[in-house]
Amino acid sequence: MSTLFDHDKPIYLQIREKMEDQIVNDQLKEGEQAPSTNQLVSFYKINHATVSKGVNQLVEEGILFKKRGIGMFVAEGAKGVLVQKRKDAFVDDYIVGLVREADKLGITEKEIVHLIKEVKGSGSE
Amino acid sequence: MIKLKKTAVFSKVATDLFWVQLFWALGFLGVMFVIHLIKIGVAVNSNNDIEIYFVSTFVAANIFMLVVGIISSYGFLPHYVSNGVTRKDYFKGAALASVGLSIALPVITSIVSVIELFILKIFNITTLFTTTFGERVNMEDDGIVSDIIQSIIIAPYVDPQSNWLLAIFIVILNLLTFYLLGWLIGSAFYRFGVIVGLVFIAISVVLVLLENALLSIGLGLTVPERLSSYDFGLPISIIGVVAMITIVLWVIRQLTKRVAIKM
Amino acid sequence: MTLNVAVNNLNLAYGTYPALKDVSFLLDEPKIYGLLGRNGAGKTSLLSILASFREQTSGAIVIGGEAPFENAEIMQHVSFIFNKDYKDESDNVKESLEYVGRYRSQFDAEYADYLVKKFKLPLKKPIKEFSKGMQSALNVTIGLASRSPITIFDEAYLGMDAPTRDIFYRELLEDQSNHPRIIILSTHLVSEMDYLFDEVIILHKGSIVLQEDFESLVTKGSSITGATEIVDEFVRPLKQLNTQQLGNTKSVMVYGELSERDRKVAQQKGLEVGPISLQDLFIHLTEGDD
Repeated sequence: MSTLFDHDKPIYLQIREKMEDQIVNDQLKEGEQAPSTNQLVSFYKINHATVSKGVNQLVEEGILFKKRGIGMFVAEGAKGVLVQKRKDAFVDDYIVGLVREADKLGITEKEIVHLIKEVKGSGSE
Repeated sequence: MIKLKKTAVFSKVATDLFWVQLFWALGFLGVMFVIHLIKIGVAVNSNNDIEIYFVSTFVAANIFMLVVGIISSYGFLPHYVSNGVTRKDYFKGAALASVGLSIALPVITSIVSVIELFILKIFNITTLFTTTFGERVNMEDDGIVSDIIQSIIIAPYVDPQSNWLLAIFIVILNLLTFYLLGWLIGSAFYRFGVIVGLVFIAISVVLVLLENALLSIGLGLTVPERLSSYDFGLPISIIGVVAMITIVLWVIRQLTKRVAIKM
Repeated sequence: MTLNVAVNNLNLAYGTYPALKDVSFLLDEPKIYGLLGRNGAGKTSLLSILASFREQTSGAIVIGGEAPFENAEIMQHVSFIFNKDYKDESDNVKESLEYVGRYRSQFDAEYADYLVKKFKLPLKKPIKEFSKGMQSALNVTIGLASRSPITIFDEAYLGMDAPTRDIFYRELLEDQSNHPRIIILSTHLVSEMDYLFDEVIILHKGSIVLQEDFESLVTKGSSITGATEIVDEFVRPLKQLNTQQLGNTKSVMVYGELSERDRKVAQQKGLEVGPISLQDLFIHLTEGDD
């Protein structure tokens, strides 16, 4: 059993998210072959069935597709789809929490914008 | 799935076992040959007779076969079952290999003897060689132990000069008997442990005496006092020995038919 | 080619000692089956019957529709790889593999050579001079390369160091996906090997405790952690495997399906619901009456 995973979220979901991350980060490009189920099982030491569940969800949503006899490949436009999905979830996942926390601490909107600019600025160095 | 015609499993087993055991036999014969050369050297110097190679090896060969029979019964069966061979196929193959081995040994020693005779003919020392072999000596107070020992050491023998085919055949019977008894003893130990194993050793001793008696009577050799009243020809004694061999094989099969393989 | 294995009411007694009691199960798909059991549970006895190394005392075993004992066709297709002592083995790796190839019709010599290289086994050295780990590596090489429709590994990894075991697991998975067959792994290293199993069979004191696929088995186990009174109330109707207490916090391992609703209820009550490992399940399902 691997120690790379959280106890809270179902493992198949975490496998799925790891692959999505790789696609969004351009580590796995469109048209490229994705790691096989076997490779994932061996690498993460996670059961076949669990891995398949996560991978199959990605296939169902059109992120990956199966080339018979060869393996799994990243679909055209997959990155776009994932980026959009994350953009849609951005507000819920990040903004809501940020605003709530800022309210708690008494940080104003103006200050938030200023902080964002600072972080962005130092990030680009 | 295409079924190709393939060699029967027991033939493969027979071939494998034959070559492995022949390899050991060659080692044994090699050692015996060195001893033989030394004996020749001594004999040349002291102007004594010595036996040809064929003769000088055949008693030791009996013991060799006994030992190999015991070792094989322990070592090979698990090996083969591990590779999916049935006990039945193993039995058939091993039996065949033992016959092959029993034939190969005297054939090899005969050839070596012919060669040595030929070589020494060239050097004109053939007078040195004899082809006779000692006969049993019956003494007044012969106990059963001396009986047993003599039965092994003074094994039944035919002078090859008088009938080389028969000589080889008798040796083959002897070697096969000893091998099978080794196999029998080994199988008994493997299946039932020490106590039964010892019982089978006792049984084997009796069988050696029996085989010896049968052939000695049939060949007209000296026999112990108590057997002197028996007289029958060679064909009967050979049938007797063959029957004995068959029964021993049957018992081995019964012992190993369903034996559990130790791991 | 898949031969299936059907065992019905199998009993094995060594004298009066009952090693296997009324064992029944079915293996009918090319999967990796994990056979788990404590020391003396009867795993090796069961596996040696499958491999025709010994006969059962009563009950039936059928492989590919036939009884396997002394059945040349069937025995040829079952490979039993166990911890073997090679102290008298004067053959070398090359000779050893050739010998196996003679008797196993599906033996893949090239694949064997590939594995030998992977395990870095010396080809010409007599096997009795090998370390225990290398002997085991040779053993599993033979097991994998034989490609038998029923391949049994009974703690075949003994002596192997962790990196070597890793190679074994990797190659096992790889070959299974290319040449699926029934593979039975009998082991104590549950936490290390659990991800390999498609199905799990637990044997305890000669009897089958369960046979289930890995996923559904593991989801049946949960750990409930939180304030003692709340935990106690929640776990009362459930089968409890193990309890740990630290101050006012209690953690209980339970076995049984927990519905989505149950989980929500637990969370609302402030309880933490987490998974438990196969190893924990195994330990606690085979406890008691020791």
